[in-house]
Amino acid sequence: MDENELAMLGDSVREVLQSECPHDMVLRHVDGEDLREPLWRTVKDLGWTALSAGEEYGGLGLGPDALALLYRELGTALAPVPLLPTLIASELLYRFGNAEQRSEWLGGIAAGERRVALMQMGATPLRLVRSGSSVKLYGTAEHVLELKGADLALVLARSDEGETARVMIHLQEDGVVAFEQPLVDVTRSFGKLRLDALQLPAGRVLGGPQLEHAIACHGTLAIAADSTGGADTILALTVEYLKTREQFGRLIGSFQALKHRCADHKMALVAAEAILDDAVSSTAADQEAWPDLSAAKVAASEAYAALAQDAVQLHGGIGFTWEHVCHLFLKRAKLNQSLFGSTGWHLDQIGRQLAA
Amino acid sequence: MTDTIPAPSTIEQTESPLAFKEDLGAFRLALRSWIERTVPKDWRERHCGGTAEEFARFQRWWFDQLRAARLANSHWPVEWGGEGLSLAHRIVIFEEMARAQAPSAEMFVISLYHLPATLFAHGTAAQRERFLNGVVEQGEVWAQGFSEPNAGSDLASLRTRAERKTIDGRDVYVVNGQKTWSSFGMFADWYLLLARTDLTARKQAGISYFIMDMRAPGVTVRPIRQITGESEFAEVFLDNVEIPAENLIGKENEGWSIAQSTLAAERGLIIFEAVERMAIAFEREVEMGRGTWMKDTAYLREFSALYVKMKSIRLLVRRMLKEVERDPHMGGSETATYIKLGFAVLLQAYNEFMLRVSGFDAQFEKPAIRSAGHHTANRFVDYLSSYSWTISGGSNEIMRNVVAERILGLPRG
Repeated sequence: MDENELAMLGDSVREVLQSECPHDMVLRHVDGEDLREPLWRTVKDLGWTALSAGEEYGGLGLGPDALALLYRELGTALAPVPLLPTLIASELLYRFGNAEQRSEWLGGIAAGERRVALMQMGATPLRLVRSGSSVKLYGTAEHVLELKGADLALVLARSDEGETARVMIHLQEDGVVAFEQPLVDVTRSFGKLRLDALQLPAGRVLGGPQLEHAIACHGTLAIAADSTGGADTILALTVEYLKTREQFGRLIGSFQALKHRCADHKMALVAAEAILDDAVSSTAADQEAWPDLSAAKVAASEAYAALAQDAVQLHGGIGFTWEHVCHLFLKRAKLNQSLFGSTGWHLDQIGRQLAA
Repeated sequence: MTDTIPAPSTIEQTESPLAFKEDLGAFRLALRSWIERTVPKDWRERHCGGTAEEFARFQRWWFDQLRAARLANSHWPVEWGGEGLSLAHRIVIFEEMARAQAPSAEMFVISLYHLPATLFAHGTAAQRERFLNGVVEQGEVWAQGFSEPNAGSDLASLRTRAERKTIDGRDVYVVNGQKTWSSFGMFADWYLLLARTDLTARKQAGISYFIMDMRAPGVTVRPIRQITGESEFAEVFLDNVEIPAENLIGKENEGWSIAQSTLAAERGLIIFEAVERMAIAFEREVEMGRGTWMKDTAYLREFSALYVKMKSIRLLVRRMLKEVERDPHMGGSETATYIKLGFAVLLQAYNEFMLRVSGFDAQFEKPAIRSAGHHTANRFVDYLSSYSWTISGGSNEIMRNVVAERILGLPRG
């Protein structure tokens, strides 16, 4: 995609989210008026579920630049749509799945007919036991992202011999019991699966160390982009508030103590955006963008969390109320810090590279 | 300290790496070889400590070498008499200079950046001809006369006065007042001076911009000793100094907006070299720290976080260079503001970190290497001198005001 096409994609994503997912609807979602399923239908109808799959699967085969744009807009909108694990799964199958796996899953996933949940990287793996043409799984899969309403789940498993793999669970057919693990940030969802010697055909296993790496790259990019979108939006809302709220007979935005905090947040955001743009173009050019993506996630998620934390403070009493949107940004920002590798984990990736 | 480097006389053109500029790889090799041939192996040892005069002599010598190879002003556009080198070439120069730990031409920063940024947009053809050539052909040193004891962050409140008079048939401005924080003012030949020409106008509106001869009668220069113990800056007293009227830059009373061009140079391009040198220093820190402080995972994480910040400044500098390539006359941009603020904060944080991880070793009094920029091999001096970025050329607080008011649109206080 060239720059113009990208800009057009960005515009159309923004327009859809502005009409289907404005902040007041997200606030109502928090109060139980579900926005998750309507949004899923929207993104499915618009073909966003096919963004990262190849054209032969009805997809658009879009690269990381287009994905970063999409994730940024989802962050801006605080969109409670369970899209990320599905897009990761379709990328994994497209890049690493064998012919059978692709034909079994990829079409349905790209079409949005089968929604995928994804166990977080770094979670405690299930125990994998291979026997002939089948495998058995033991244990509890925790921290499965967007499990609620999903049809498939890609869980992390490890054999006693040390083989790490992802295994595709068919949540209905396999008769697996799913539990929701409600999050403070209700724009995303976690769940867990208890598996007791679940026997599955060996074809359900996707293997190889590059798999976890690909998950880390895609997830890191997504959360970094989501964070820049969220940070930009909550900064704009905060600055707008400081320009209208009066105390002591003055606009509070004229107080230097508040101004300087906004300036520092803006600086951190601009820095994060520069690093993310660079990491995205390295990824798009098929260069090894690791640990540049780590740098992007550290910069973006830390800038977002600091900004969202301060936004509540800068809004004062109104920012501390349930009805104001500030806390939704704060909660999503705090979850973003932990999703797809904590700041400490990512700094360790960078440190290892520096010290190598 | 013995200094065997000869004093400069006339400069003969030497074989320049620029002869190979068509091929970036060949240019790099030619430059590397030029540095090897030119820079004395032991310059760092010989310039550890020493007097201000030794520093200045070495600076002039180094600048002469750069001029002889046409490298000194190679970043200037061709129409200014430079080489108009591409971004890629300039990165190569900074990388090779930094890798070889070549001296930094710090005494010539105003000559190489602020002067052209000011004259190109606002000077007359005669001024450009005389003064840009003066840098390239004579190695003239320029200093900046902006701040005053009572006009620091509030620069527009400056009170140095310039009155237009005719003396013995000469059309001159007579200047009285005091300037301060002029980098290397004691070695300067010329001065970029801001002075008030209209006492009745609104404070920004009554300021004019002059070129002043530092050797004119009535100019007194006194070094300022800084917290590092060194004297890099000077205060300058002006007592009935006569400036020929043709040395006015731009129109009378329009100096304030011209000064923004000068400051914009500082807020962007100078940091290019500084941050590239820092990037190379990171590599060197790893070599030295691997067996010591890097084993501490908390320190390594902190170092990695600094690396992320450094990376962001490098990327912002590249963005700004592309902006400048598109529009060389743009003056200040948002990006330059972020770079100035971001780099100042980073430089201080980085040096504070390196001082801390160095333990007692860095606490002992010892001389610093001069002409080595912010990498003097004396952690404490590097840390202390980082204030020169956080306070001068728009303090961090002023830069935050700029971001908040001009970029975010928050109301003025």
